[in-house]
Amino acid sequence: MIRFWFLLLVLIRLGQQNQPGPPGRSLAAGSGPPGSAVNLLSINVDSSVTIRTSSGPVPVFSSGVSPCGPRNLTVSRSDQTVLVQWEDDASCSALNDPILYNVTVLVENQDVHSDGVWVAPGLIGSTHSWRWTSPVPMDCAAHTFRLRAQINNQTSRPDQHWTLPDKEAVYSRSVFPQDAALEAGSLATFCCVVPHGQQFHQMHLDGHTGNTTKISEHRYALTVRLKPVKESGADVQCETKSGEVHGATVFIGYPPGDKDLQCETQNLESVDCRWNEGRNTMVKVKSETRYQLDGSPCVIGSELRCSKKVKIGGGERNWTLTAQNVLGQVEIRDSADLTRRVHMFAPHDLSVGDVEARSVRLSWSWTVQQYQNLSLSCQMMASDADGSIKHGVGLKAAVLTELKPNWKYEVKVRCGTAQHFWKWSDWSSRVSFHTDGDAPDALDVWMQKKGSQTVIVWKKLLANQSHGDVSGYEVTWTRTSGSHRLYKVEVNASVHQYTLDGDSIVTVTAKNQHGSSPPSTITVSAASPGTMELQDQNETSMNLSCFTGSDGGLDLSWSHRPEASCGYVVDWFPALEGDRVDWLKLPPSQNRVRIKPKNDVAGRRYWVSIYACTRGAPLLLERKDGFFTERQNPADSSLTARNLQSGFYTFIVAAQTVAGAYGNTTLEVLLNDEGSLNNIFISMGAVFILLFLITVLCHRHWACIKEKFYPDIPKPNLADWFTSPVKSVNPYLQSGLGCHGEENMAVPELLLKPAEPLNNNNQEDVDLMSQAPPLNHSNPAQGRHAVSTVFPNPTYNLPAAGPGRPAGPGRPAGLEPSDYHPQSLAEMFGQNQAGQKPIICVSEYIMALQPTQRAAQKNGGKHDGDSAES
Amino acid sequence: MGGVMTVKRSTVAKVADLAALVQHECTDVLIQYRNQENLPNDMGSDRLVFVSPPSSQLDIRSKLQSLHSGLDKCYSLLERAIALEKMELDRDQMSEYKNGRRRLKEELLNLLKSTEELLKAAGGKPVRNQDDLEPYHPNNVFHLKLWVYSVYIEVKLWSKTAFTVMKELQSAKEPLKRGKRSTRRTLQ
Repeated sequence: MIRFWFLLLVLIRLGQQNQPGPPGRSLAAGSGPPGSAVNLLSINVDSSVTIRTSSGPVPVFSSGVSPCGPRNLTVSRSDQTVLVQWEDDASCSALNDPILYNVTVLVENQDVHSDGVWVAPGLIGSTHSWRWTSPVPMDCAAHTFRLRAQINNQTSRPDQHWTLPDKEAVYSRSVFPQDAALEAGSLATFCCVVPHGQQFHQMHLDGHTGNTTKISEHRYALTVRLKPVKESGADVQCETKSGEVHGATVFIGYPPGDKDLQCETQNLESVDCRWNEGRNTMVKVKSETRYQLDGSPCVIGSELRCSKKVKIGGGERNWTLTAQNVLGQVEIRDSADLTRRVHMFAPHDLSVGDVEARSVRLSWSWTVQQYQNLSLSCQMMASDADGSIKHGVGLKAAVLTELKPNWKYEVKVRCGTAQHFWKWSDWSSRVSFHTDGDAPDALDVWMQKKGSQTVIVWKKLLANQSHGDVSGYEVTWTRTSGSHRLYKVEVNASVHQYTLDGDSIVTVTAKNQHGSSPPSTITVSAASPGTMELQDQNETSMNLSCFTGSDGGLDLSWSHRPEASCGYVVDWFPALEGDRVDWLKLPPSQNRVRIKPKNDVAGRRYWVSIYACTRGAPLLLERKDGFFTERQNPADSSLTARNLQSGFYTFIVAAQTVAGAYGNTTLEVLLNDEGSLNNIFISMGAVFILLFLITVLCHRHWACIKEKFYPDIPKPNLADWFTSPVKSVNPYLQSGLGCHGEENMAVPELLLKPAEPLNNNNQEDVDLMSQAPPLNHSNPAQGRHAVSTVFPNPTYNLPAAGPGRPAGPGRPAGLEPSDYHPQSLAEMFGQNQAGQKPIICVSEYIMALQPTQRAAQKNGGKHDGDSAES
Repeated sequence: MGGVMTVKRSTVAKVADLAALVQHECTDVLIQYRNQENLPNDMGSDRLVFVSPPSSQLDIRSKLQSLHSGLDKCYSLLERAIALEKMELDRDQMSEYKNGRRRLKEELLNLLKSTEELLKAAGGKPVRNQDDLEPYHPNNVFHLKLWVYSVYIEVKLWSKTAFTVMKELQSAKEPLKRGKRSTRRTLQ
């Protein structure tokens, strides 16, 4: 009801004044009938609110100009917002009507905005205010605020006005706002005051031009959507046509975006909170972010952390962190019971005592006395040892066990609450100590057969196995048959092997100042490991195979054997003599391993054996030979040279072997360009025509030519020995070759088969022999027809190398130099082969045999083996 | 002492090289600064060093005196510029610009000391700049940026001047004299 009367009053007044106000500019609400006390609510365009009360009758002045009006006008500003305040003249106190104050804003003397403020009679005499935000930087242009009163449609006495900013401030600068912090994403207007005598050229923010408008003759505004540029600020530049640059730096960024607050206690007396910064505000140069924890300011150092004294033990409670900068603020919270969030300080004064060979006692102290009452877990970390965890109330000491004797350690400790574990403390400072020495660990013993002798070998103890300086070794043995006498010998510390004859049970121990190692025993039998000789009993069951390694190593796997009561042993050694065997001992459960020789050289051939470890002598299960690393891909049989220019080239192809490049074939090639090819074709055409003419001439005079140069010759009588073909196969192409072509090479039995005619030789034979140079046959028929023929060899009856007789290095398996005497063609036919160079084609290589090599071939094929091996 | 003290031409050549190095480094820093602050390439600058440049009419000692004063003032300005930048703007971590700025300061100090040695060899007495004026305080950040830009322009200008003077000294016939005494230093 009151509101109704008051609205009616206002509408009547407005109708009387006939003064249209801006829509939404001023609303009024009140209570009570006209003439009674009412409340006036004035809402400005920028939503600032002024509440007034007024009362009393409205006086009427005969002159038409009321003496009632504003006085003591003041205008204050904060950035772009102004607060206009005034009082009523004393003459207004007699009024019973409301007063309408009209506020007019002029920017550079242009009327840009006006507003009205109603003051109810009851509020006359108090201070009134009006708030407004300018769209134009206040410093850029003069803002004049004019205020006048209207009472009953009568204008008050001369108005009051106020101009912002101070003229000196305005004209001492050119671009506005200066050094302002502005929020990214917002729309901002920058202003340029062009000095007198200059002409405006352009405005831009950090190089980006936006919407530029002219405010007045010398004032321009640039409106842009803000994006963060850099922390040192973005520059608004205003250029004149004469090239002068004026500017301002603004800092564009964000309100704080801190997050992930987490609070805990370290000293059980205060809360320590940490958090993450989140998005960079980009305005720290201008406005460093300020923090408060539960209303208390935080002193922030290099890390985001804030502490506050609190009473611990009050159960779960909330912690609030406020982050604030000039652009805004954010509040983040954490809820915690600090008794469950104890992040202890690092243990203090760590010290070492009772140092023994394999254990040590550690002790430390606490800087916070309350820790004595906490149930703690402490972790001790020693270098070269796994962490050990101990528990206890107020734990201050622990014994570290399972250490290595004669070993230097560094140890550190950290602790946390055992109940409601939250975090480990930081590590304590490190303390170092050296454990006492001890007797050496047991030796790793193996053996290697060398002829009739057996070399007992053992691995040098590492520092973590010797537990002190090894002073020497003791080797004892008894014969497995005959006398059971115990033999004993001392071996120098620098020697790691001992050679024995015959079957024995051998025990080796290492000694240092603290005692002897546990004994390591091995049984030497007739078929000892580390040899190429195989035990007769194994011949049938043992698996002999070849291998080619990968990445310098070899992956081995085998079937479990019941005989392997104490595991398996894998050993390997180079096929060349002089290199020591290496080995790995594996538990019974392990039947696969990857081995990798330490000092392997590409192209070095190895023997690899797998043994079952038994109570007696090791049992050979499997043997392989091959290469861990091949020097090249033997399968390559062609190479392509590219980007060659025309000309004459000599290509030399050689096989890479352990000993270096071996054998070579030279190929000379003339490469021609198109012009040269054309010349060749023309030359060939000419030769063809010449030959054609000669042929025609010969045909015409054939009888004469035959009579002169080619008389009939009587047919010879063929002997029986020449009618039998022999299948000769190049040993390199036999399917029954060894792993790499040189071992297990059974020389084929060359049988004389008189019943078969010579021309029944198969194509393979022809191909093989076609690469050999032509032979000077004694038989004239052969000389005339030049038939590609394979000639019989005598029968050798040589045994092929079987599994029980692997080939020695550089020698085909099963062949001893004294056994193998291949008969040369020259021997067969009584002709000298010197000076001829047969080329033997192997699938992998092309080799031109030198005379000396051919001689070697004659003497047992030793070099054949070498070349194939490589 | 009535001996003849000489300054090797190779020493002057080294100072000339040093001046060329400062000029080169300063050019690089200016380019980085212009790019960083989006300043126009042809932007003018205020003069900050009010020392008469060493004109060709002056003798060697006077030239060196003038050059030393100019470089000394440049070094003071650069020190102040770096300090103000660190105070007002340096939030970023190390950048190429900051590294270049540090090198420029070190090399300019080297040039200043080398010039001072030559001046002493010529019988001159180094005079420190007595700045009665208050050190520069920027009204706003943009003004600071322009001022820093002007400092770099001055450093570049005076390093170029130093190079020119050193080249003149290298080709000069006049020996470096020491005051009224008979001690003489000549260029070899």
